[in-house]
Amino acid sequence: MPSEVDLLRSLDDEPDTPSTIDIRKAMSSGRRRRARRQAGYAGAAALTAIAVTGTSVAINLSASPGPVAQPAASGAPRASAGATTPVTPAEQAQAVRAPEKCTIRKLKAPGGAPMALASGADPTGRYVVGRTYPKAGGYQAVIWDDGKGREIMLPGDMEESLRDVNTSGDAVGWSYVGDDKNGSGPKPYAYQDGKVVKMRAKGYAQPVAINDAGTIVGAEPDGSGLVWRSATAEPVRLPVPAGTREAQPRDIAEDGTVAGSLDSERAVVWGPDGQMRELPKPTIDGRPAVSTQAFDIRGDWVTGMASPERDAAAGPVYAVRWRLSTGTAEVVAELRDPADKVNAQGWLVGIDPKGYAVLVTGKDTVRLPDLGKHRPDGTATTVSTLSDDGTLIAGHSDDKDGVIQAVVWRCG
Amino acid sequence: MRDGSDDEYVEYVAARVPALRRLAYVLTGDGHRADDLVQQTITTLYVKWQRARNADNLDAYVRTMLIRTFVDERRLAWAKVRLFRDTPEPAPVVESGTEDREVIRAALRRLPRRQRAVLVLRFFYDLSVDEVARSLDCSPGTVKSHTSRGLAALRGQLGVRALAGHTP
Repeated sequence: MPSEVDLLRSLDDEPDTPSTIDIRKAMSSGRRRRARRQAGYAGAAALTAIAVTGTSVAINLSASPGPVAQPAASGAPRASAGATTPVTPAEQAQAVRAPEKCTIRKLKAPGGAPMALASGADPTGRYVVGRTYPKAGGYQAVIWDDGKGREIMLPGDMEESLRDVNTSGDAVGWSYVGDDKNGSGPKPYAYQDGKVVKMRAKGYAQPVAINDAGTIVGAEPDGSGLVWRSATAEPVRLPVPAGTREAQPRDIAEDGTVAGSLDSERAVVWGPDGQMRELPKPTIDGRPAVSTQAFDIRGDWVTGMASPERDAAAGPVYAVRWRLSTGTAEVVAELRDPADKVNAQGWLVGIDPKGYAVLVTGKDTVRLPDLGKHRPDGTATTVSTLSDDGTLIAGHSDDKDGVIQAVVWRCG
Repeated sequence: MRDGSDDEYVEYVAARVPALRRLAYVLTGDGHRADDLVQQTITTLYVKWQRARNADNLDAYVRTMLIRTFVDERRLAWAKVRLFRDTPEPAPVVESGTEDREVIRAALRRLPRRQRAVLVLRFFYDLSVDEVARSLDCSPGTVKSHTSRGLAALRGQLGVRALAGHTP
């Protein structure tokens, strides 16, 4: 009987799909990307340590200071029970009926692009943002308004994407921009009142989320978390405890609370006053989780993942839902992998143990159909957004030919 | 602007594409993703070509670039939207008379990225623990634990199938 090692060694074939490798294209994009500083792969991959010290560096993100959040944890993990976070009216959970059934529809990519994906949506689900992969190659940022797609022309012709959009239709994203002399990297852009606005940044930066107040959160490649009070404002660094290598802000609530993690290990929120605090660790098999990350916030709810390992890639990961007002952290058994999105009701979307995209309302788990053939490994379909009323969900799903397509699910 | 070094780059890459596609395929288990990975790798290689062409072992240098691009999922276009999608709980391997290679490919796909990279480097390329550790920029201890966990996971997923498929 061949051992698993023998079998592994037998995997010496090329993909059965025709090669799409384009050497000329590699050279033209490489030429643009040529960096002044060439960090060799042979050396150690040094992470730039950031020297923002301690949590005394509080910043104020809210126009009018709200209730003061808990003092920030000073590096040591600590539970946050009892902390309160104001919930703005837009995020307050109305008594909404949980959907029972969802249908899928492909979002037509503008310009006849053969592939597309959806990364974000506003809380009503009207606007969806993402990118397409035009026939000619490269990437194209796109915004869909009520299902109708429009290409947003960000500067640069390398990689680009829009990441999030608010209820006014204002979106944020990034595009690789550069030249032969200085190399290239992601530059932050906003799309506001129908115009592309270059956002301020010292160097490169990638915005990831925008709220209805127009406050934007993102990160610099060197590991700093940034908040822009508006698309034209100077960014402010999110404070982190000394010794943090990378701040990873992921999402911003309507009151300005930012959810994210530090060093891919500790889920944290930065309150509207800029104070950071660590979210409590949920229990996995009777023991506190070792590492956590927060990916999304809406009102009182935060969602993300937890792992019994320090390096989450080394072990199983669990979906987690935190409630800020009660300081609770619970593992969501209906989902495998982290939940992708939480809404004002605390409902979640993610992938279930059978690899299906699902909406988890607490009352029910509603399966979101795949566009093409289902794959039990959960890679056929990805859910990216969930409206507050649960009726509109966006994401992407492989079609019958295995090509990734932006989709929306209508649920009722 | 073309010069002699561009010709050298084209010649090298054209010859290496099949090998790089094989490596990318064993890592990703998917043709499209494999090509995405190769394309990004050769783009980076072009950027670093002046330095890379003088490397002692250019093939190993490029292989390390590809593996690191794969492990550092943030560099990959598709991985940005499928964060963690590659580390699910293993679904049972379907026993449908699929050939062994497809079975092991499917089993491999269910392993976390870093574990996959460790197994591929150690057993596909016969690199030593220390060489793998240098390639992945981690400690030899980490390589060892990934190796044993990865093999155990593969064994777990292949166990039933291997017995069923190879008992006369």
